[in-house]
Amino acid sequence: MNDRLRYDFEFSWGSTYARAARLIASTCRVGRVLDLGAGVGSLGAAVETFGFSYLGGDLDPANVEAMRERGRSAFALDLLGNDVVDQVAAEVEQGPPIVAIAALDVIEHLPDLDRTMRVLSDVVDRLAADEPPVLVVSIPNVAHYDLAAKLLLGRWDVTEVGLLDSTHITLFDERRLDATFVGWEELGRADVVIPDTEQQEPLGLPVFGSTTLRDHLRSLRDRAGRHGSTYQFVRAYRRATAESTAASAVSRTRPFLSVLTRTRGDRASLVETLTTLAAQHDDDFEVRLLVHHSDHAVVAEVEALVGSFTSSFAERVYVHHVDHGGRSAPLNIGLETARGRYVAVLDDDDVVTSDWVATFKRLAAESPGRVVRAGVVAQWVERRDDEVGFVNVSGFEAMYPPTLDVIDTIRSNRSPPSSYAVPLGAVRALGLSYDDSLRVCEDWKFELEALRVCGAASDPAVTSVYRRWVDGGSAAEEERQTWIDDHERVIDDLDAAPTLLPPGSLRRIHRLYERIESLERELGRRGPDDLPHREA
Amino acid sequence: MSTARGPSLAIQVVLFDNEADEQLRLAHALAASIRRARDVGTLGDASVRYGDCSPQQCLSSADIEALGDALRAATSDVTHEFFDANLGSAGGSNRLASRSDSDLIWVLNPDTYPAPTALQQLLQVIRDDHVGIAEARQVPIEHPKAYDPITGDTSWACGFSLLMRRAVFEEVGGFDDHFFPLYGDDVDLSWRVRAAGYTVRYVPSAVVVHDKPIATEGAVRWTPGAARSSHLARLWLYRKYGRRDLEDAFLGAVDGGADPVAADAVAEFKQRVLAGDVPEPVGGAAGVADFVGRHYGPHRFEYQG
Repeated sequence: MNDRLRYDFEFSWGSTYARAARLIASTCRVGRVLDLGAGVGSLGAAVETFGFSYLGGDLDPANVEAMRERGRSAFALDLLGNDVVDQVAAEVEQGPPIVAIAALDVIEHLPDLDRTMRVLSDVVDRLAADEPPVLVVSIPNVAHYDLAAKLLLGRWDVTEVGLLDSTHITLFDERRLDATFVGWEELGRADVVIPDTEQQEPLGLPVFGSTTLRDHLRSLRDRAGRHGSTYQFVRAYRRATAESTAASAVSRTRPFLSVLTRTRGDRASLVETLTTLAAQHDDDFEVRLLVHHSDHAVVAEVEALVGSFTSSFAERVYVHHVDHGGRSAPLNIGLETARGRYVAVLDDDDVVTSDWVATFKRLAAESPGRVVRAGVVAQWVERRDDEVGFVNVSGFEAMYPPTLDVIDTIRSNRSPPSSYAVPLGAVRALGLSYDDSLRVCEDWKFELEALRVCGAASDPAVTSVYRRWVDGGSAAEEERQTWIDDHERVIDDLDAAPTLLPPGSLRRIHRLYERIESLERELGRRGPDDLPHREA
Repeated sequence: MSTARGPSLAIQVVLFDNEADEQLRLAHALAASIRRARDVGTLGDASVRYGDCSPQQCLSSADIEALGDALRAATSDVTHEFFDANLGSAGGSNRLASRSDSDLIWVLNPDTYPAPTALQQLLQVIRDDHVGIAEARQVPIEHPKAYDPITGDTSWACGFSLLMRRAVFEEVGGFDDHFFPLYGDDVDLSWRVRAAGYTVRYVPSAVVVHDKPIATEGAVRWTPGAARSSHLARLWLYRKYGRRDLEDAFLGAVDGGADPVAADAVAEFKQRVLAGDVPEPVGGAAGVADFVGRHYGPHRFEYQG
């Protein structure tokens, strides 16, 4: 098959060309469209329906001839040539200004991405009239689920056309696309979405169809962000202003830990929590202090309090005003703004020992990527109508397991938020957040979602004190039925996708069944020869 | 020496094999506390006095210079003295107190970190002439002894962080260095202060972190050395406050038990009693010496351990 036939795709309204044409129509005033690497000019028909005129440039003389045969302006253009900008400028000199430049299925075929982008920038700059032309590109997405899943099975199947077209030289996922277009401002997108691609050959691979493995991997890929089903990115850009380029170029060093601290401005308890943070042996952390209050005066008070700490600590505390949402809203703001490699929650009524950060950091170094968990004790407190607002009324109670176990956590939450930290990479990659539709149990759901992918590493050494209010505090504000309802909802939500369990889990489950059967025999509800237990 | 802005203060830190990083952290915290207290007008001149009881000086001259740099924005009056002897917590504090003439003395353990508001809160309380000692709240292991929820009055002040007026400190004769190397000296000082007619006041809003471990089962554990000091301190307190009944009961229990650490403390106690090396009894203090079970003063709750 020659290239002309290979890329002579028929026009249809769902095609890349139609999507690109719509994008041009929505971002440009009507004018002339320059199509670089035009092939046989399939974009022409699409843009003409919106009233645009068309000029196609292509390397293959046969394609140029085909465009002309179809009544369109066309010229021969070698994008790898030395005089691309001059050549294009000369071709467009006669005729109306160029309002849009298309490079559809072009960039991935060219060997030197930096050079390609310089050429495109130069062409855009050279052809700018009253305003610079919009650049529209289409580029295949190699982070499509079908490619990722096959790669797990050791397969990388190059095909004649499609996601892994044999002539593709430069491969893109969205991150690379974004990095490539730094210095450009995205005006719009019309990506092509195809869930089931040509890559699903040969039939029967367990990562496709309706297998449990497919469901698990697909769920992971979907949590990891958009574009698991995006076949091609179709995007419109214009050259960015200097200010927006400078803003996007800002980079900062990342601390080990981001601490998310919710507060309603309760000064006495916040002083205590912040002081235990300021006293950490390892200062490789930042604090996202999330003031959940509608009153700006409260935020100002909190900022003043932070400012009273030594500057080496205060400059690592970022105060965020959150005036909306339920209990999860501030935490989600914290997740969005966190810069640490790990993230942990420390509410303003809890305190930590001075090795809290150092313990998490050591565990993360020993077991990279896992949820890290340290020992935690509870202490009962009572509300007081005085300057402090509460008083401790008990010693420490070791009411939580010393280490974190995934199966135990499936049954119920046994880890107060201060006891564990989650890799921010997992949070971002899996799109984890606190479910604001839950009235309670939102932290348990977050923890479980991270655990069932990352696993856990624990140190029983106690590094935090979880305060429990004898009058119930926030826990008692919710009726028990609310807790039961939300508990069930969390299970249902998580059960919508397969759960990955760490090694040793089958034995744990086996023993649980044995125990149930043993207890049923003791109760006379099971005979010695009954078949193994089966849940209704 | 007081100024128009407020009383003068000497902050005293007795060192024993402490690390430079820990002291630098504390110095930054002290600077923030001093600045805050000055900003609200409750403090005049401030100084920081370090006294080193280590076998060998634990901070280098560069470390000491760094402490001065960290404190400079708050005070330039920073001194460091290598004692070349282990004077203990009580003896070291007395020595440091003799090196200044400030109105107030803030005795602070080296493994602490005060909140920026802590000093200001303590200063507000010590302004009352009836208050001899103002005690901060220890975090995260708060001391469980009871206090009056209205006044804050309490049986004694924990020595990890206590602010007192120099006049009262000198009136009662300072710390008793029979309590060596640590423990019990704070209980004894507090009870003598109360016997002299002053109150000892707990200030729960004054937060000071004290870097202590919490055992896995939630217990607050003593090292063998600390446990030995604690047993010995108990015996001196019984002896000093005329509670031979409690002393005899304790000695009997240790004789009949299998606790080698307690036995070691008792052996030293007996040896020193035989040598006549005992603290002076405190007269007229029966009303303040609150021996409640194994505790000093009533407690609100107990930690395991």
